Amino acid sequence: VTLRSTLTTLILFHPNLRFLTLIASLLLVLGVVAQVGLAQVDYLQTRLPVAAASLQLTPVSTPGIEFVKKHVPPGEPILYVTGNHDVLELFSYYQMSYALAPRNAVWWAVAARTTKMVDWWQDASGGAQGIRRLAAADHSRYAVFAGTDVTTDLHPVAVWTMQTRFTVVEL
Amino acid sequence: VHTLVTILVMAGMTAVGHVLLMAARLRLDLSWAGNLVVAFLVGSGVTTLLAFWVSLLTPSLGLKVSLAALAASLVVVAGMLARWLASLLAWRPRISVSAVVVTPLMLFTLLDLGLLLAVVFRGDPGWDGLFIWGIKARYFAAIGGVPDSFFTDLSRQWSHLDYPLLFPLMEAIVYSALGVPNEHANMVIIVVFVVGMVVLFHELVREAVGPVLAVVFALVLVTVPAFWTNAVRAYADLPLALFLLGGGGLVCRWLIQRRSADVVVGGVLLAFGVWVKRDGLMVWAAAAAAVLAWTVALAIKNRQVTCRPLVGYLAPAVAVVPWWATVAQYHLVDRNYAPVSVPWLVHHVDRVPTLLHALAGQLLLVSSWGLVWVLVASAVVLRPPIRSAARAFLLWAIAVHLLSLTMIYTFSTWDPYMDHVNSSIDRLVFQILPLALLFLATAIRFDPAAAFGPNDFPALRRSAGPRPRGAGGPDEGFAVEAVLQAATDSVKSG
Repeated sequence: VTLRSTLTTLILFHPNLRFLTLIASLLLVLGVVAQVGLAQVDYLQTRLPVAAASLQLTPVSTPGIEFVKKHVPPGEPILYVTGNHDVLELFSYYQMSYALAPRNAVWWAVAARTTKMVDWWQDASGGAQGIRRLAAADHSRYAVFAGTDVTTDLHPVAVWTMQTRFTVVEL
Repeated sequence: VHTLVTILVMAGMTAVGHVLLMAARLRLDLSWAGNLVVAFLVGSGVTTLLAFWVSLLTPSLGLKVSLAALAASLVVVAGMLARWLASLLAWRPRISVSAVVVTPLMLFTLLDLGLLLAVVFRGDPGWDGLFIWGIKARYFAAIGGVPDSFFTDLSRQWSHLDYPLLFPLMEAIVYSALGVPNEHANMVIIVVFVVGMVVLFHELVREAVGPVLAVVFALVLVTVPAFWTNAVRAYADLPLALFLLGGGGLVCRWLIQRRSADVVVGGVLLAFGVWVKRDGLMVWAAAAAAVLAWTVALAIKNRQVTCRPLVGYLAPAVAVVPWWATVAQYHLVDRNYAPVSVPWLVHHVDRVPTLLHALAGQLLLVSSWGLVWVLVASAVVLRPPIRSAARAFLLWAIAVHLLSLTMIYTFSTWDPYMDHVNSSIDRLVFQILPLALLFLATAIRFDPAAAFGPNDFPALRRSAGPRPRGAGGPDEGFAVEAVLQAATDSVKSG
């Protein structure tokens, strides 16, 4: 232990061995130069064109969102029903909730069981009964069916359809 | 128009910070650009906290009161600016021939920065930029402040209602000034943070190791691929990285020079870091431990107990308590993590080796970090921070941040939990990148500027501020041993 600590002291702190500090610094400088050089090649040849090509703002308002705004009054909670719970549906739900904040609360409903803490949908299994049960729990008088058909036997008060697979219903 | 209004609001926040720092007599002796960035950080924290505090009383007035404070401070600072510009006209800069070494490097850095800013300026806020941070800004802008209904709207629980509010409130203040939510304004705010990051980083490295390496390291910072990734989206990680850099850098200065303004403003910035993202808590706590240890060491050495630095560091954190209390009051929990408990930890302790492996893998990812973390590791080995408290503090803060935040995944509720790790570990590492580069810079005790003699950079050295007491020259870096020696001598001499 004494030998090791003596050597360490000599190498690191002895005034006559300060050149080691200089060598260490030079090695680090070389590394820094390599980093900058590599980055410049990457920066100018790869990243800049890729970044420039992907420049477009995520649409925060879509025809579907405007359609919902037109038919659902402010303050009314909405049940947003999708057929699946993949990233595509998750994104569309987030997008709807984002665009309607704080105008309307938007709850996500999928006919599928939740298994994880971060499954953000509510289980709407059970057909029309499931939808009505969730709507009652969330105090929603309106449901939006996105990318899926309106549940049969729902018997809504009113139905507004945009194209074929985007429907607002008043329950 | 949107861009101009956004920049005006950012200038207003800077004015608030400047007026407050002046009123509190907290002069940092940085260059004018460095002071400007610190004022911006302080101002952004104070105005957003003001909006939140007022919202607790009257939700619809929060943003209006903040905007009024911005406008009043802008008027005050405009008068001061006019005087400063008048004095500037009388200034005659003298640039020596050797400045030729710095100028091309500086131009190269500015070119890279310009390319980056052009992309950021026209960029996309990204998934979290919209659905975690932007959605809150929309909510607050529509109401005029932070209403109770925000914390009880569980339909938006996925957007993390318990997250800190500095960044979304900044966006909301801008939306309020614009009169309409505008996602492009979020990118303009990020541009301000990117510029602030490069300016403050350059300033801190220049103080530590001299002007040439400062420009080289600024170039390193803007060319780290992960810097690009984080700069081109409106996430809170880049703002947090700037708060950690400013706060950590000022605590470093305090360890060397022991000027109370440094530790107080450092405490303010690190406390505001927690108000940006809770991840900032680790560096705040690491710095608190360092300030405590240093205060105790000095008390033993000087045989005189003084708590002023510690109190000065800790006191600003009180500003964040109302938000923390509000979140606790509504029992908001982060569903991504299980409550911290010993049984959970024992049951999931087998994750630790995997997490450490994931962290090591991330640090060695050349496509994200280039050689930066390899160089930082080399700096630890080649130039261990044994005799420099400031460098030891930097290493301590970096290690605490990286290891503790990686270990937090032990409590992840995701299944498989590695999905959680892979989706966010790069951002956790990025938050500490500027401080790690500062540590790397201080490991190099070789300043090319010194080769040109002490009088060769008069224009650059003009704003460098006083050298640390006891530090010999620009190649001394964080020469705290010299300060320690001076302190010891003064004790010995009675």
